[in-house]
Amino acid sequence: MAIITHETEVLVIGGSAGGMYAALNAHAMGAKVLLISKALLGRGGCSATFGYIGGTHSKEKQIPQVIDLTDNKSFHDKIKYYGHYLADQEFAEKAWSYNETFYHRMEEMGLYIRRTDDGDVVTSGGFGYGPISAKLGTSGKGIMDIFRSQIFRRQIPYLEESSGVTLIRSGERVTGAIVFDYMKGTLHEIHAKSVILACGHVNWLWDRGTATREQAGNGLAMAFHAGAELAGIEQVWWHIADVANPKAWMRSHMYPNPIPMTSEVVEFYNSDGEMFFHGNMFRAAQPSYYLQCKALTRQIKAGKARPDGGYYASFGKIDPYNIREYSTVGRYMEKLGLDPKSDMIECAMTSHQQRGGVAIDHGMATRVEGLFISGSLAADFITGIITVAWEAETAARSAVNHARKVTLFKNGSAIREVERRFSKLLEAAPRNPIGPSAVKEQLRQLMGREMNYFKSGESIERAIEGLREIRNTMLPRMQISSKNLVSNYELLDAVDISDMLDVAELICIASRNRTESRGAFYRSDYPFVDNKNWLKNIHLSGNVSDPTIRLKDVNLKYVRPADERADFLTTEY
Amino acid sequence: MEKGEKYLVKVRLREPNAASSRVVAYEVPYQKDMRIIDALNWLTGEGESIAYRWFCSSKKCGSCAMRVNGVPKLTCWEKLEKDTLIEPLDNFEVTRDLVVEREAYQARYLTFKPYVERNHTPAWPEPLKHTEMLSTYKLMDCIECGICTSGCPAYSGAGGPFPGPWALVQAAKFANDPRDELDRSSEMELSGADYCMSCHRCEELCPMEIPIVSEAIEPMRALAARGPKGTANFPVLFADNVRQNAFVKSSSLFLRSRGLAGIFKNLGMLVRMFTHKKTNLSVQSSATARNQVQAIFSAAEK
Repeated sequence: MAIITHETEVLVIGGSAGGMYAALNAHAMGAKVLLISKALLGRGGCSATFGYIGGTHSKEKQIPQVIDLTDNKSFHDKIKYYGHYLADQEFAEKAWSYNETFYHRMEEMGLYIRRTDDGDVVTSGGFGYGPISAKLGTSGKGIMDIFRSQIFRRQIPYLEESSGVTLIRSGERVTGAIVFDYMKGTLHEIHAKSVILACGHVNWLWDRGTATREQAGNGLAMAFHAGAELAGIEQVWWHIADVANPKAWMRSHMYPNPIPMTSEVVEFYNSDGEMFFHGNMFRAAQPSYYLQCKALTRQIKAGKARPDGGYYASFGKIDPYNIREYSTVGRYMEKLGLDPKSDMIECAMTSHQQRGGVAIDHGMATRVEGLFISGSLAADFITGIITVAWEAETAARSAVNHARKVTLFKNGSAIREVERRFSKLLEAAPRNPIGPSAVKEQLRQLMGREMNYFKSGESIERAIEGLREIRNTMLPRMQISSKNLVSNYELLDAVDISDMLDVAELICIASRNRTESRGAFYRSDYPFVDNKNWLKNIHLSGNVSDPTIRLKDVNLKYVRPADERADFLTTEY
Repeated sequence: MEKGEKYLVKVRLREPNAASSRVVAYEVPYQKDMRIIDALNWLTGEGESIAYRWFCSSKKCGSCAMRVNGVPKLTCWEKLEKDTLIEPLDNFEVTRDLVVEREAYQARYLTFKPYVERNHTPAWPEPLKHTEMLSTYKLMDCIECGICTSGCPAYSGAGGPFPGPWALVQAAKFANDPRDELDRSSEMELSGADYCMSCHRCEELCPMEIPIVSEAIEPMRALAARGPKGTANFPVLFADNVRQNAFVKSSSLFLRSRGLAGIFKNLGMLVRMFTHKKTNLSVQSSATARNQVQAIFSAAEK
């Protein structure tokens, strides 16, 4: 295989919001930066598919709302509804303060935050929830376009359609990464003083997922294998508002937020035609993904919906003009020949983001020297583009500071190991061969069956067993049909499947250890919130099959839950 | 169509650098509301080796455009037909199977400076009305799927003279932005925007329904005509010439379009134009003809 060697100060792996904004910030601080994107730059991952800008905006004053710690109201709501009391509250305070910087910074770079014809910022709901760029449903794409344009403008070098394979470790330090350009079929050996991982918090490990094709847990796996801790990876948010059919559109979200310029929201109806949920039921909790899940669970238990369909989203109470003008939800319905005003669209449960991730300090540093995390790959338990931007800026600052203190170290052993691994995959000629993409599919089916929203201790054990079976019986049968390395997605799939298996197994192990339910995490055999024992995060490190498990108390500096124990399906977090 | 009913899906496969391709036929069980990409995803889920690019599969990333039964389409968006032939996009190099090379295209449009350049830092919220952003707002929908360029008869590859509608949409998105403060006329006059034949095929094909000709190509041609070298103003001068004379008055066009240095350099051609009776200084069109032509121009401008 052709190998290209690079030397840089800051290597950023991740080509969406967290990665591009970190690269822009590190470059602005004067560092030499190299950016890696597994998808086309700014076109992959969760970032390109998210729908609005987030944060809150005062409708009257036209300024971002300041999160008020003194009256505890907005901060407490966010910690409760977004963080399920698992977020480090001092970290959250810092990250959310970026609300005041973000809009200004984005428009300076060229983002268009939607205005009315009179020049007012378009938001929705009474308290100015979620400004949008273009439309509700495509703001992420607009933001990625702008980050992309700024990468071009500053001529920051980048590799597209190139996947991080492994981090280079030199003693206790991370000193670079090996990257596979799967379009050209080349390996890149990149020596760097600091490495920032920004691979996002959505991974396509379930048969239904909002994740896009390239999201294979690479960031979590690379960090874990380099010695970092993963925290809270059992906390997986599920959606109920994603389109059931066609399958491709399971990533299309019928946003529960109010349609911009209104306070009107989507309503959900069960198979008997009864309305069972709408976003205004919990005003402080928008977007109330896990509250939707609880509401749907009650319907499923009553036999009036299924996890994979049999319930519907309705926009019937919303002015069609506002849907057309400010949102993309209508386009999916219209394409299927449905009228947003009078028809409903069938939805199904879909795995979404991991609230946890790689454990970090307040400077986005992992416990491994030289390794930093940007964006939602971090175990932050909070989410949104504004948080991501703060994390990216912070990670860039820490990475640049680290790079200024150390000398470049060039360890040539990692590339040889990757070469051996790739040769072995390419040369495998098993007797009963199976394509790598089919192995991925088997893993997703297994996770969808056993590790869905309704998992239990028993199903978790079955999942672990199933994953080990895939590892033992299917991996040795994997065969790559073409030895030519150009656009060889089979080779990429074969490399990805190792990371997917590792991350899936770690998610199962963390889930097995959490003997309660909370927020995004539901175990049907422990259907209660246990604040007495579980205001803690599960940290994993070491080996995948037998990881070291550490429980860490959450930093509850400002607010605490009122109750010690609560029934999960009826409580609000 | 019954769920599970077999659909015939034929895919054109090609190894990298192979001299020829082959079409392989598959049977795919129909799923509810199935999109074209669902068929490819089903096949690879079964372990078939088919290389194709896709990411979001929800009309946002623009990566899954392919030629489907002869027409370039966004495969995540359009439904699967009972008998479907899937091939790579025309007008791009194929790297493998259904994957086309995008890098050369992108490298070219980067010369158009596709970003907002400001001379000052704006306050938030910046005074800005939606009405001022309308043109850029429409172009912001572009997902760079390449379908327009793939179907463009004027485009002849990344090395050809015409940059293709995709690149011009990206250029116009920033050039038309009222917040942008960069003079882009010199990039545009070298862009080859004039090779557009205004056939509107790009608009017919665009999955995002972007008014490509009126919002991107025409404004970029007008910008090109204002360029410092003056090399791209010929269409403007030509149109002015016809408007004034009601026919092509070639001598006047010659003198106006070449500049002083150009006139001297091409004096020989001017002489030949007269000796071969290709132009005539004294010919005039009738007032009626001039009025009629001017009326056509006025109507077209509306």
